[in-house]
Amino acid sequence: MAIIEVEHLCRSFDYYEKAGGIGGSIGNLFSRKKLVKEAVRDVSFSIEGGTTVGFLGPNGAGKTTTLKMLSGIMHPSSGEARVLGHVPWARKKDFRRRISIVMGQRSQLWPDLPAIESFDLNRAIYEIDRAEYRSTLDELVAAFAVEDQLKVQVRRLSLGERMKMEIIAALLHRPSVLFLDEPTIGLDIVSQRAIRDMLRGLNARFGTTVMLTSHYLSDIEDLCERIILINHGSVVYDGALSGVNATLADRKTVRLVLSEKLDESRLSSFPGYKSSDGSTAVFEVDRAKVREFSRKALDALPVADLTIEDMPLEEGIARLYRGEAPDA
Amino acid sequence: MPSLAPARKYGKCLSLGVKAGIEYRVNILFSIAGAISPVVIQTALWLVLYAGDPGAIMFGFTFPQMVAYTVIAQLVTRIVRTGFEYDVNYDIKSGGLDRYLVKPIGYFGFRIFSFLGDKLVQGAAIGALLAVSVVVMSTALGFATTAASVLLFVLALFLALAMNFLLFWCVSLSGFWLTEIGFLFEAVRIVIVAASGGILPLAVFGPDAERALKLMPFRFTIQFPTEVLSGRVPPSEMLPSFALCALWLIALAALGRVVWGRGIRRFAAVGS
Repeated sequence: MAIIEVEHLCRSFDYYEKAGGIGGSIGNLFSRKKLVKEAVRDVSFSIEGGTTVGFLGPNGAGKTTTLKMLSGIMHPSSGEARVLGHVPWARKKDFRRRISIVMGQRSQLWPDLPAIESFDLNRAIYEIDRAEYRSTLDELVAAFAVEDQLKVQVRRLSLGERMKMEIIAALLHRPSVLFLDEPTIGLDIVSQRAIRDMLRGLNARFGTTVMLTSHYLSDIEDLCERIILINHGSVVYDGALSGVNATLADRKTVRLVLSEKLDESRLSSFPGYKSSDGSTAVFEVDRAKVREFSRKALDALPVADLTIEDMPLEEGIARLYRGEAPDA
Repeated sequence: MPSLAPARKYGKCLSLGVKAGIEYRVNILFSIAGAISPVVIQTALWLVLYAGDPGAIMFGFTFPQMVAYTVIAQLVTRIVRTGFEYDVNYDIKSGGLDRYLVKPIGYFGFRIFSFLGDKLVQGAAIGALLAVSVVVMSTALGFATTAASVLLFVLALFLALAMNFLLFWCVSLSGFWLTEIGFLFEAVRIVIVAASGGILPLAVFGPDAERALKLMPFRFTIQFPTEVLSGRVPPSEMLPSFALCALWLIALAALGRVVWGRGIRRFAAVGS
């Protein structure tokens, strides 16, 4: 059953063009050119309950704007959406009790309060039974190993500590839907892994529906079976993660480690040349022609080592960002 | 049986305000210290004006009554003074409002209960100072009040807090349309303090202006509670005054609700 349904969602922002310099500032006092940015354009998708979906796109693609509309923070310019059967921006109490949002770049906690005070405030706000609150909190605090930081003012926590506290705060009321906007941004590998482990367990144990944006593909590969790619405000791919590189399945990356440095001009004469740092060269080759390419390269170039790899996920995603359809 | 959960929710907000008030107790000392210089300056001014005729009555006040008014009005000003409007503006401007919109709690409720919690601490501290001032003034200036006046003063002071909160709540919501409104707050504060009798009794502005200002909501923030404590409100005017105050509270609450509804639709938190 679809828990999140989005149809033709649009959101535009007005802004003003401002010329540089003092002259521009003075001119701006008298006339300003109004511009419109279409942050989200005709986005439609639906998400089944209990799934974890990656919501990807380059900076400024409209990911955060979409999550803000789906969590009820922002009204759309047009279009419709239902989350758990509610129109999000109507902000009904039942809706707000059943969702959570964590934004890596903006705290949902109260910066002047110690984290434990924020949690206690959330307990009152979400009307959580005290015993249930205690057991959930203990479990989450132990999982993230943040017991020593509970009484520290949130503004004094490190980024990694704060993000763990943000996620704890977001999970205390056991939301049915969790929106995560770059929850691992700027975190070290250990913290990223801790957060991923937590989210995986959450999905498995409670069937929480998770919508996740992240620029770290490890987050996506670890957690999401499906991704929705958005660029310039529009959906450019919606499907299985494995499908992203489907069209690249007939392509291979051949990496040559050279025993002596070569000019780029010599390397680029080989078909499929992509890049080189002088001692290593990378080529993109048709799967059927890998054997032939390898033989030619070994004959013509001073090759010390040769590896053949599948195309990286980043490449598939980058192609989709550029508007190249996966079945193109 | 109705659930107690909402009461607990806002009780928690109240206790947060109390904690903030206790944590920033030095701020209370500065607030009290800030009341001293206006009292000294205004008392010096009245000393000069009354010097020629110590028994004179100016704007309906004898010299001791004027000094008592000045002291009480200054302390009431300190008690009802807001500051949450900067937080509201920051929440709107920075997008911090998000954190309230996604939770099952009203932002207005959160703000007013936090404000009242903070004021419980300040009110206790400044109220104690006011009590001492009343005792001193009764000895030095012959100031007299009654138990009934004190009770009505407490009610009027509570309504003054609500009135000042609603006035600044409505002003702070202009942050949905204007990016930088720090100076607007100060301009509004100066106008409200002047129009509320916080600097001088409204009678100083002349009978026509006083009549007009008495119909406005501002005097209920300072002059009205001050006059209630001083026993200067005739019994026949007491009930109509409280009724007018209640009407303004309802009107401002309704205005705030409408403006909030429109503003929140405009709200576009930073970042995309």
